[in-house]
Amino acid sequence: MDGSGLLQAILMINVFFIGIITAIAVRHAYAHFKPQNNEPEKSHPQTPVIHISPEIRDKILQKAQNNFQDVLDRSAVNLEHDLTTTVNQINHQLEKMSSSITASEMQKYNSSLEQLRNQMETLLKQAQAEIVKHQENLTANLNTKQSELEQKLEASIEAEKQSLVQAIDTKLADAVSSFLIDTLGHNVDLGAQHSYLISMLEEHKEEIKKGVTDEN
Amino acid sequence: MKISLPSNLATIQDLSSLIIELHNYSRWVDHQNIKSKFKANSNKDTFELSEPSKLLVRELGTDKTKIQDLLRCLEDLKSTSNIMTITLPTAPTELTRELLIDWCRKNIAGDILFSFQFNSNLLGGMVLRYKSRIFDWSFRRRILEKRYDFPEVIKNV
Repeated sequence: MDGSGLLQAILMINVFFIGIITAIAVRHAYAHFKPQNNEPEKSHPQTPVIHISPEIRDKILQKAQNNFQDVLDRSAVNLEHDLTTTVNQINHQLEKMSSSITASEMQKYNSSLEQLRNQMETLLKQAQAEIVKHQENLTANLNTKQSELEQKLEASIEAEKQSLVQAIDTKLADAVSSFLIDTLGHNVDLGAQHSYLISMLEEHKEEIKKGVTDEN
Repeated sequence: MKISLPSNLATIQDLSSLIIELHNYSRWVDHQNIKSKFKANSNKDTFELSEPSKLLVRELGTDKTKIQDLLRCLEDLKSTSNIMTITLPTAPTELTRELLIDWCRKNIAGDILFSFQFNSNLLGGMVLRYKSRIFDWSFRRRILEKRYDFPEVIKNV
């Protein structure tokens, strides 16, 4: 049950009591101004009839009226005092209740806000962690890809370099060998090569023998 | 019959001419024998043999049977001849030929025949071919084999 419901209930109770007090006061007033004569007649059938002079009777009536007026005034004052006290108490209770409700609601609001903030912080941290992780993965992938590309590029450059060097060497070798062949192609002195020829034959004697044997 | 081929009998052509010459010599020996049998004057007839023939016939003399045996051996040798082709950068001199033939007959096979060719592109050295086997020790091949070392040599210089 929330604060406003409680307040309404208290107000309703107060209104109920005020209604009861008002009904009692009205009943007493009615009984005072219009008394019922049959009961005293019934209860005192044998009492002797007292004759009261009209002056005394008027005085007694006047006095009773005054007394009743005093009682009524006092009751009104008391009722007003009680009402004021009740109103004050109700106000006090209302203030207390409202402050309590406000504090409670504020606490709830603050706790829910704190919870939301914690959730948001958690989510933010998770998101940040995810972003950091993703960035790290991305960086790692980029680094890997970069290193692979660098290696491929280096390998390609090296291969190109080797190819060019090989081509230059081949050209150079062909040029030198062609030059030597063209230059040395004349004036061959076989007599000077006798020792070389024999040394070649001696060096490959077994090989030649094997070749001749295999061919036969 | 085992024969030792002289170094100046190198090629198949030499062998063919030797066989023809020995056939002629055999016939001449026959004639000489017939003449001597009938006491005809045979002193005027002489048969000039080539150097290889002289070396082969020297021990046989005029024995017709041995000459025929020799001819058969030579014919067999011709039909089953193993020819080694030697290619040189120039036409070989007699000395070079003898040197190579002597070495081969001494170290490889005594009855081997040769065919000499020359190719100036070889620059030096020689190429030996025996049937499908080729032994190339020419300068050209060496240069071509080592041509990829030239850049290294040039770099080191």
